[in-house]
Amino acid sequence: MWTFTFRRLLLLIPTLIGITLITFAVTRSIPTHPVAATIVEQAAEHPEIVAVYRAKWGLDEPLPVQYLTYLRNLVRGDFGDSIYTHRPVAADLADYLPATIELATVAIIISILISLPLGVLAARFRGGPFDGLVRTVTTIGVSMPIFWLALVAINIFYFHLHLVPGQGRLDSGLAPPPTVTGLYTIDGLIAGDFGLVANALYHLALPAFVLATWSIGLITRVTRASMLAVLGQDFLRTARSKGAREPYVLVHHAVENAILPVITVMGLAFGDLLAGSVMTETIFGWPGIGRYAYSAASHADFPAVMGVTLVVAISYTIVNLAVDLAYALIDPRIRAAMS
Amino acid sequence: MSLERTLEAGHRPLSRAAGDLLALCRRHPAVAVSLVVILVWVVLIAGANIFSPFNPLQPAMKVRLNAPSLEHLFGTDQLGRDVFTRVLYGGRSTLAAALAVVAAGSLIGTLIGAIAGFGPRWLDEVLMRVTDMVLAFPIIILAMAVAAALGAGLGNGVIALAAAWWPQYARVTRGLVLELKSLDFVAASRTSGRHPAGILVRVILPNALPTLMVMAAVDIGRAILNFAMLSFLGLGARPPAPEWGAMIAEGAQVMDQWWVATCPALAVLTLVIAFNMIGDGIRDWMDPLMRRRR
Repeated sequence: MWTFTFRRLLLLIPTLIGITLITFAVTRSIPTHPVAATIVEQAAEHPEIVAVYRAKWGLDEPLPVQYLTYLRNLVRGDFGDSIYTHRPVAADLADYLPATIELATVAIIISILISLPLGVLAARFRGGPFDGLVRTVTTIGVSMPIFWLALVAINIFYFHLHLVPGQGRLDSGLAPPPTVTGLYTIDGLIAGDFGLVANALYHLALPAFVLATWSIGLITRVTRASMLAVLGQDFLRTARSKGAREPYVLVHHAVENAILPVITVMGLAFGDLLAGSVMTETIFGWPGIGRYAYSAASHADFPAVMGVTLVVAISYTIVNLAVDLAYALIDPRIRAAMS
Repeated sequence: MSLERTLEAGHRPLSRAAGDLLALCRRHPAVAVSLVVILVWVVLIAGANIFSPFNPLQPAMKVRLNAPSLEHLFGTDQLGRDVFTRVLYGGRSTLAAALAVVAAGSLIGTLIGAIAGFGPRWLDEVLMRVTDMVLAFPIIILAMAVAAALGAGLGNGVIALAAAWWPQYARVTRGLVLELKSLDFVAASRTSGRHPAGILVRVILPNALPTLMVMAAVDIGRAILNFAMLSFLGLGARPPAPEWGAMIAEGAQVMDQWWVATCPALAVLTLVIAFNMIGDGIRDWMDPLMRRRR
């Protein structure tokens, strides 16, 4: 397992280089002058500021050198300065990323808790009314424009029913817990402040549910399909004929063999969650990198957009790495093949 | 993923497509219903100027935010414009953009995948690594970055999405080409002295085409959803031009007048559901395992 983990971690390096190559290519595809797009207008009128900027990003060098300069600045944690917030993009991202991680994590937990039982039961009772209902609802789920769903949810549950709190991660009177992880639920637990944890969860509930719409649909459908492929297998009949009870057969024989594709799709779903966070966070006023990306895009704040793009791609890659490791952990055959 | 696999497994000659479609509709009534839904939308959108007497851009302040009525089927928006009219005209932008994204994405992807599958080993390696790099980004995030670089607008939105769209086609095409390359009729045309490029274009690609076309057709729904998202974020079509995503964004300010945002949203939802249903039907149909078990 350790050799496998180590090898997989080594493979991360070319992937990360690939990601930076793409973001670099996008940065250089700006039709207007890169300087004009990446520094504040007032600053662009001062030749000396422009000269410093050009030197810093190596804009007068040939492209390969420019890329290396870009990479060096990134490794130093220098993502450039935001045109809109006038702060280093890296500092902005550090402030906003924990909120997104917390939201996406709660959303994926909700999706898994709902999707696995739904998918397993729909497959078990294939063709019945429950299966039909699950298929219909999940088809709607994966087809949903969640930005509209978020608007409707806020209008109903906040403006009309007053069931959920307003914008932000905590009620406005509450101070955030001392920062350890940046996730208010975890930090609140560490500080032993359960009221604060409850309040953070209260604020998380609706945005996380809306964000989870896609992944619930996706994971349920894959669980159902994967279970269907397993349910017809002989070893289930053997288990049943040995007298094992149905729930036991379902969980220990069927689900355990059907879980691998489900784990893969969880990795993909996480990408959807990150993408969906741009819309969900914007509408719910959630102070994460999604809303940051939206405001950056609407203010033509190019360095900030690229910063978010890079961070999202890296997070997505790390999640897929975790998926691969989970694969190896669950399936000894994969471990054997890889080491 | 499973779509790619089942589609790869089930390429069929184009001539049988019509018969297949009929059989598919008979087996999955949902596919037939979906086709009707898509057809109705296409007719309504194409004939927008026939089905609606209103101008989609002209404000009419006297009838601001009117609820749906016989005169204004979907009500009116903040500027008194007829929402039904705007949904129809908006469909022209959204559908055209989605079609353009799928067309450009599948064309680029097919080209790259074909070269990777047919060309020398090193080129395959290089092209597939580039494909993997692009796949490391969630589509809408990469599209957002490209759109931000190019500047907002309908055309730039299409370019941005297409730039993130092609990798899946590259992968599928490469798989198909590798599979077809090993078949006897390709070997036969090679021994008959045909130029390798000729073999690729005249012998291999026509056999890969049906699979790719099915994949592209089913893909339109996802393109509609993604383009609406991009526009909602202000990076696709810009107001006042009617476009579904942009209209939902405008309607967001007046959610108590639910029809302004909900009608374009339902247009997106019904079309995407229809395309997804057809995709499910085809996947079921082409998966021999699933068919046997019925």
